[in-house]
Amino acid sequence: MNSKYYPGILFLLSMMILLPMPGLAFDTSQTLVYESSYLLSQQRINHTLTLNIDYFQEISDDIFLEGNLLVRTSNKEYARPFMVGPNELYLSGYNVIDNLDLKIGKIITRWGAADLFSPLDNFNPMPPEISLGKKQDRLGALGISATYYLDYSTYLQGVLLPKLKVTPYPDEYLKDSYLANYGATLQGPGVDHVDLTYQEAENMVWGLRLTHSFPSFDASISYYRGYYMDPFPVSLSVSSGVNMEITLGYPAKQVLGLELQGEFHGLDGATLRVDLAYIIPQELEFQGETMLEEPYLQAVIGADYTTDSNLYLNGGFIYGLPFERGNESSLYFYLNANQEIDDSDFKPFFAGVLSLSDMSMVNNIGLDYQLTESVTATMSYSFLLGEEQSKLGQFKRSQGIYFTLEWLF
Amino acid sequence: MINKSKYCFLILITLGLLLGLNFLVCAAEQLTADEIIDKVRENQMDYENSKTRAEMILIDEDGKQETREIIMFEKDEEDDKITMLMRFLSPKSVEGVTLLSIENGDKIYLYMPAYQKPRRIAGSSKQENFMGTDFSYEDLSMDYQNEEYEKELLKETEVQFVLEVIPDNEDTSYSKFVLYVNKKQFYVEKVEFYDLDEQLGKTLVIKEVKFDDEGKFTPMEMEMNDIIDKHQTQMNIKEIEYNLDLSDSFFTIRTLQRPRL
Repeated sequence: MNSKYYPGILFLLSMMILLPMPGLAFDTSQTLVYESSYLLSQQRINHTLTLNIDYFQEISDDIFLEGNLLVRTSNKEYARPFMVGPNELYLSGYNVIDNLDLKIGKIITRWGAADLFSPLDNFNPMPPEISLGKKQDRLGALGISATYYLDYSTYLQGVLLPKLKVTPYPDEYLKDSYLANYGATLQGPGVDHVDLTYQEAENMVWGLRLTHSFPSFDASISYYRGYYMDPFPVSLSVSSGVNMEITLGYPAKQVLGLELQGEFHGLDGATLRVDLAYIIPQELEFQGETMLEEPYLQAVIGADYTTDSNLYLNGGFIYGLPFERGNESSLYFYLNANQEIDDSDFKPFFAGVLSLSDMSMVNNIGLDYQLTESVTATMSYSFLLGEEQSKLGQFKRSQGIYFTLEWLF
Repeated sequence: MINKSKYCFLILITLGLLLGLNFLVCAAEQLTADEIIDKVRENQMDYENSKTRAEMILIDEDGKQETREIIMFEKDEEDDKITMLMRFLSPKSVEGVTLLSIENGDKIYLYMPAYQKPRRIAGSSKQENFMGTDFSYEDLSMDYQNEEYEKELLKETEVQFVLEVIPDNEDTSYSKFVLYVNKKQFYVEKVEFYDLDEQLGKTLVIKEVKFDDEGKFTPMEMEMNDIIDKHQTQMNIKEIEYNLDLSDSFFTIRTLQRPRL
């Protein structure tokens, strides 16, 4: 292994030794994850080692300091060899003022009833790699979340982020992408270098959400005012015939949302989860092409159900994936399935998304194996059925074999 | 000296009294199903809320065991309905998973730390087993002694009353329960759960009961057996407290994400 990974591994090991020691002022629990992947597009094996430390400290009966520290070392393309930092770090207060709960600090706020690709989940970006994973991790952002309980069934939540938290695409990845898309073919054969500058979002990000619990389902209406978290090219110029200068920005957007989850007639035994988003974007043109203009709809309508033979199914329809904007949005069918096998430590799973417009399909099929009570191994194979130019074509670069070993301690 | 006729009269009176008393004793012992359930209720702990620490041991067909620690809060609602909040404390794989079942499962929420938001579970999926245990969401909030359920005394042995209870809810996944009630101390020793096809699906056995000074009982050790899956969940109570100073808002969705209960 390259010596540039040694400091990361050393730091990670010392944290693992120090944290379980008694006498620390806060409670911690750790997860050590080793991930390995063989990507068909790169023909190489990637290794990532992540130590995830959850911690909390009780300051008083109703006030807590909570957080999550991430230590990671990786040899993945575009990834930083070593990173350490808190993904969450916040004070949480319960009933500090009557009927009001607060979170202040680096927080994660999840909106939307759907488990996958909710168009209402707009405060915290996902890590740059799009995945069909079960959890869909989010990155923490500085802010305040306040929830006021009007009664036991109705609450109003307000979220305020002073600054937009953007998806942390590595510069080198963006440069390569823009060079491939706009370089030699559009700007001239000599263009072989890209400089990026960023326009920061000017205003605060905020949102309000009112939730009520009805006898058979919960419903929320929400309003979000903020920005797209992925960068858009705003302007492009070429200097000296070889250098392409691209300015990237984060267009503003407003989202009116409706969430429903619960029981509905005709779906006995299943829990229905619905997210509807009406998105009003800031107009954006680039290279004479309108990228954002008219308001548009995105939605996820799904249900989860467990059969008598312990097969967990979560399936439904998605109208608009996170990388689709405006009129690009199209219809997909998705399915997540996990099978519990009696008296077996193996658990097979499948996750798939099928484009109903061009029938391209991304699949992730695998097996979880419970080695011990606290150690799980997962092997999976991800593949695309369809062309690189198809609706789901961007999953082609993540085709490959994945192995994960997770230890909770 | 007492003459013969007087002697016979006295014997008859004495016999009559003895027979009458015996009849009265028999009448007192022949309790109806409802009266037996009422007596069980009388012997149950009377509380507004409770806090329980327990261990759950999951045992599969091959005898492989997995132990989980839980903390559980219960609140007695109107109409004898129970609201329950339960959190797994260990092992790490389920630590922090929290279940809120409001009023016998009319509303169920599950908080899994990995999802970072509470998820509502449809009432109609209550028959699903909860987190790999043999208790379904429905079992955790089941009131098989419900006053409105139809009850019948099936038989009486030397030590037990055997009762059949037929639930009247359309949304329950059981056709009937058979309760085995300890005749001496009036507590339920065993419950058989029959599915909608009238097949015996599960049994709950109360293995150890603790009585307080007033004769009120608390089940301390119990085991739920899934007859079909040949799987067992044992629940051993480590600590139980009654009538704590808990606000009504404790038993709501806002408590699900609290790091410490």
